[in-house]
Amino acid sequence: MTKMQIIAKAVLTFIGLSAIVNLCLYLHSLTYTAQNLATFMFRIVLFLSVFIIFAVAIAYLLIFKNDWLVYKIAGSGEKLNPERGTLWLDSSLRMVAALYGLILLATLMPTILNIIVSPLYILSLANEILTFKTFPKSLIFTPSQWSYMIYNFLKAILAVYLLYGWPQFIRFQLSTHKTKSLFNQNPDAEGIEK
Amino acid sequence: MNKMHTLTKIILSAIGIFFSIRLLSQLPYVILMFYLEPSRQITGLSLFSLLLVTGAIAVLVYIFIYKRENLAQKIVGSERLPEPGSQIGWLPVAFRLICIAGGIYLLSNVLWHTTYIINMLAKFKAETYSVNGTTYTRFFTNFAPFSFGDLLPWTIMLICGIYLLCGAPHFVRWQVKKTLQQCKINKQLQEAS
Repeated sequence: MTKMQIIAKAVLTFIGLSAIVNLCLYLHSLTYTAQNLATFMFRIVLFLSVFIIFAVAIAYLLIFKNDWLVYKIAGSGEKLNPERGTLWLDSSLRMVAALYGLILLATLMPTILNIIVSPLYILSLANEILTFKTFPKSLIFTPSQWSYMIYNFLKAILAVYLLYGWPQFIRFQLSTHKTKSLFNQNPDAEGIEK
Repeated sequence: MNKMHTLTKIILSAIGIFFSIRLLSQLPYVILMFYLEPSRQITGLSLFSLLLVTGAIAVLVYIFIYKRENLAQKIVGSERLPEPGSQIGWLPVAFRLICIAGGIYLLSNVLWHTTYIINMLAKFKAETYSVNGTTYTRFFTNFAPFSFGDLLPWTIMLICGIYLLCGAPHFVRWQVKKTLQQCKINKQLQEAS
């Protein structure tokens, strides 16, 4: 891969990540009520099928298998040697992870603090349930509130994971990159990189 | 001046322009607040919000556009550094720039919240009424501006923002170390296969 291709790959990964996080926000609309059950079910099935198609397409085309797009965007050029290629790929993906992690963190501080202090709440809630044998009123939220809380919780986990450096994904990308390099070195095999 | 300095200066200018525009979008709200409820108290608080936002924009423009040379010097370090193409010389610089951008993003969110609190304070009105000869004072607001529970996340964000704006040395060092470790492991795996 060339330097420009690696930069394009990192940018596409960033766009894909932010697209998926923004797309997941629309899951909130599942909690809206409908006039009858049939309409409600139809809407859920329709929404989920469209959502899954979009999410899988974005994850596959922009994050995991974005090389075809990278080659179209960045074109060809002087390829980096394997050692420098690894360094460029690893560091550019790590930078994307750090940047998007910080962007997510900027909106999620209250959620992260709530997660940290949640064991204290859980203890008092467990005591309440055991003492009064009833479901605590403080836990009664509307489906809409639950959906926002779950969304923020998952976003907080993603933010921490990205700030940690996204190791599994980077390892996966490096192994794919390595496999392709080996594949291209084999003269009998058809080249993937153009 | 090498390529890395030039690149850093361009990125710093871009950061400055982007966040100045982002903060500029806050100004209409502050002015609108005054038009909706014109009173002495609201005028004072609107002016204070206006001062905060314009002050932040002025600081951004001064540091990231006029004084970008000095900032680039501090971020990159010595001018005799290798060019970007040479292995790891550019790695801490890039991470530091990301931290600065992240820090300004956090601080701009804190500033937004601060102006929001100021606007809420403007609506914070006390009313006195008497029942059976006793006078009571009641505060009419749907917002508690001095709740520590609400202020804590924003205080932490302010601290994190300042730390990131200073270049987040520990975070950058850790990220660079992890990147190099990953590359080393990958090289060993390549050699083994």
